[in-house]
Amino acid sequence: VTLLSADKAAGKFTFRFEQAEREWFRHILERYPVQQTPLRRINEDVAVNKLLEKALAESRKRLRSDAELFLKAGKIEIDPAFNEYWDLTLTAAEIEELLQILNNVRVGLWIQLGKPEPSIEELLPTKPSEDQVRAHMIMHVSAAWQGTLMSAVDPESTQA
Amino acid sequence: MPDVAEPTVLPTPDISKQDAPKEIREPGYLVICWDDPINTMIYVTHVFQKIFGWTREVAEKRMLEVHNNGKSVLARESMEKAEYYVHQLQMYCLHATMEKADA
Repeated sequence: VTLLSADKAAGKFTFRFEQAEREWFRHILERYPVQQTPLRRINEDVAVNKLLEKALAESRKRLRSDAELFLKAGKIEIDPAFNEYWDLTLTAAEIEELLQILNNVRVGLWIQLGKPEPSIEELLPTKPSEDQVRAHMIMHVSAAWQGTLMSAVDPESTQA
Repeated sequence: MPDVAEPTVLPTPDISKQDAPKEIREPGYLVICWDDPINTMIYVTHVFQKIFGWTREVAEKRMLEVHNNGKSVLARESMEKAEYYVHQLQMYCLHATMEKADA
């Protein structure tokens, strides 16, 4: 995925996906939400905790609907060499939503894999199963796209 | 012999809770972010900037506190505001909790 154009004044960013990337995008977004329970109890008070978790579940439900919209948005472009691309234009707020979706899937898969440390990206099992390889790929792709999205809204963010 | 002045009893100042600093009056809630091995430093910095409106320098400093110390107290706020921050941080899948601050 590459940033095709950024109109910061209008708050619009267009990203270009190759065909295979679009499929990955659909595959990842359809999984959302993977992480549904906080890693730590948010608050000691049972009632407060329950209320916060309920509010989070509602926000994830709303984001699930937005994920559907992302999949329906965008337009197909064909270049002079007949390569087909999918161009998706997002606002800064939508980029933040997409970051949340990608990270939820990424963190959720990490939890499903048993929270390997330092992380699955650096610690693949010697003989990974098909599911582990798929999870690893999704986590890797999600992390790469997170970098692309963050550097679109703030080019200096990923130059550290 | 000089007259001995009667000791003047000054009125005791009425130090009520209302005059105390806000932190004492309302200890509030601490918003804490915990370290994890999955969220990248760049991502955590970005999220702190977005949610708290901090500059990159401030956000990076707090991110490094989380990374080096295992956790960082990001804010001390009223219950409602602490809940708001924790909700936001959790939506980005950062490991955030809130606890009552000591007075």
